[in-house]
Amino acid sequence: MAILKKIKGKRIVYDAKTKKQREETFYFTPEPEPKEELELLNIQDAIKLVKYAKKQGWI
Amino acid sequence: MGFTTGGSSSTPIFKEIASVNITSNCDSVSIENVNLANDEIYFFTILWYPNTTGLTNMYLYVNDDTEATNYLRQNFSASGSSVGGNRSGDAQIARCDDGGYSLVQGVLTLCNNYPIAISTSGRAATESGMCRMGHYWCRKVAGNVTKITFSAKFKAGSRIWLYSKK
Repeated sequence: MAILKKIKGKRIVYDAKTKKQREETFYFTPEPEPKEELELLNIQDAIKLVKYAKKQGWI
Repeated sequence: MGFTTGGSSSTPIFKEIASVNITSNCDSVSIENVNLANDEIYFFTILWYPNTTGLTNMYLYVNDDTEATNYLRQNFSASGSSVGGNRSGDAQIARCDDGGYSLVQGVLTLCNNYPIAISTSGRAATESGMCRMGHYWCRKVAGNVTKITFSAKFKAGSRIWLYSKK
């Protein structure tokens, strides 16, 4: 398992009791960056695509 | 301060727990000494300007627990000491697409010691920002919930409000 590197970050901390806030430095392991989700190909569109490709002589 | 019923009534129906003004870019915002009570409902609203372009996520952690395996994303049900649903493994509550801004709204409540965050869909006032949500998660806590943390790339000008029902 890869060792995830911690990076330096800045955090704002709000105290709900005193209603005061402060800034602090902390080290954290970033969550993985999100990836674009590919949309699933509609089966009907896929059939049309294959038919069109056949008609064009591509396949 | 708090929300009121409007009209001639000035009685707040929600009590403000926190109003955080994010005055500089940061990676995380924590609200400490929240002391969430069991079976009480809390509402959070976040005006989120991500400090990045492209796709980025926001996470919600309880009591500094960032262990992904402790979070269960699930269908909305909790009974007794068990939680059903599929394990997802992260505490993501929102996603912003393109560096615009988003309103993130959600509910945080304790049910049988499971803090449950329910994300609702948010949409920016401009076409440049979009937020996709719609899931929720649970985590069993050993003790009281004293601290909640919104972890995201915040740009200065972002705001976080936390209210409880009076």
